Amino acid sequence: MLLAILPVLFFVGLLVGNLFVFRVKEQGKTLYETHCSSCHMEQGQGLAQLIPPISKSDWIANNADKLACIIRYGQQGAIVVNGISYNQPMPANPKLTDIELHNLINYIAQNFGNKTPKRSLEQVQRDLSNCK
Amino acid sequence: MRVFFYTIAVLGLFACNEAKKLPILGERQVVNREKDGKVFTDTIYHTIPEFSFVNQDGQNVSEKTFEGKIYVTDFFFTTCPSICPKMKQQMLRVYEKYKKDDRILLLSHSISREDSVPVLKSYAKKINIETSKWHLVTGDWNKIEQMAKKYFVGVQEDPNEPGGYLHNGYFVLVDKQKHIRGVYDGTNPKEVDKLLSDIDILLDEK
Repeated sequence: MLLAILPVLFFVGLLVGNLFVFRVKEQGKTLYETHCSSCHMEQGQGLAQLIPPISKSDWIANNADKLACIIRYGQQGAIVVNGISYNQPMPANPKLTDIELHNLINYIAQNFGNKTPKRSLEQVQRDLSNCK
Repeated sequence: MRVFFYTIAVLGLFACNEAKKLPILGERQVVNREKDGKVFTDTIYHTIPEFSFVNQDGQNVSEKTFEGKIYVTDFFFTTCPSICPKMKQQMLRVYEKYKKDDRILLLSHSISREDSVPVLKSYAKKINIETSKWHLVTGDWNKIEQMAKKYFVGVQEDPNEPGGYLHNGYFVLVDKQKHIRGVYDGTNPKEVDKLLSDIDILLDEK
């Protein structure tokens, strides 16, 4: 009896797992489109020397642990991305929850030509507790 | 037979010109005028009034700056986090296309009280534009708000909005007679395509 249920459980598990994975990806994308794309643009290309690109960004690759803080609290002052200096304030997004930040950061880190390792929710929360 | 062909050709030309003409937007008024003792009716179209603002180089910019020119105008501010970067991305398309065409100018009004001349100057530098082609202007807030209304653009201060101001992302096409000939959503690339083709139609207008 138990053996008969096992394959069913396996497929149900697969389905639920898939739904979870794709939902997470979709939330990151939706969050990007809602909160980021009006400045960083649909393809993450940024705008001239005003708004830095997030696509193929060396800054993101080297500062993945700072992303959560910047998105939540904004960013002031000069920032060098792919060899170009940008100096335009980025507004804060205080309404995004830890989980939303987690999904958004991983969406950015894995898309737009970026291949930055994903960060776990715990890592993101640790990053947030270290914001300056 | 030849006359027949000419007639068709002329009619065809006429039809083309008819179809290509852009409308004049806004309220119009029909008035009676008198000339040489004869009374006739005339239409007064919505017209952009005089104005006076300061651009990114600290120069005065007024309706005289645009005399004999077509121009595209919008309302924005340098720290606007919502629609402005997209508008500027699209306005840069207009800029690039007509960079060398001195029949057309661009005018962006800042609606932020924080956007001083140096702030506008630094913004202009970052998007790499020539002042003589694209004026970024600031001035008395209420006067800018009044001008926005004349261009059919809504502008208001709203502390609940990101950046503190609420405004429409319209690009407004103004002809040599200061009449509005088109209003386009400056955040929508397809509408900006339409603007670019409308500018060409307007440039051909006699």
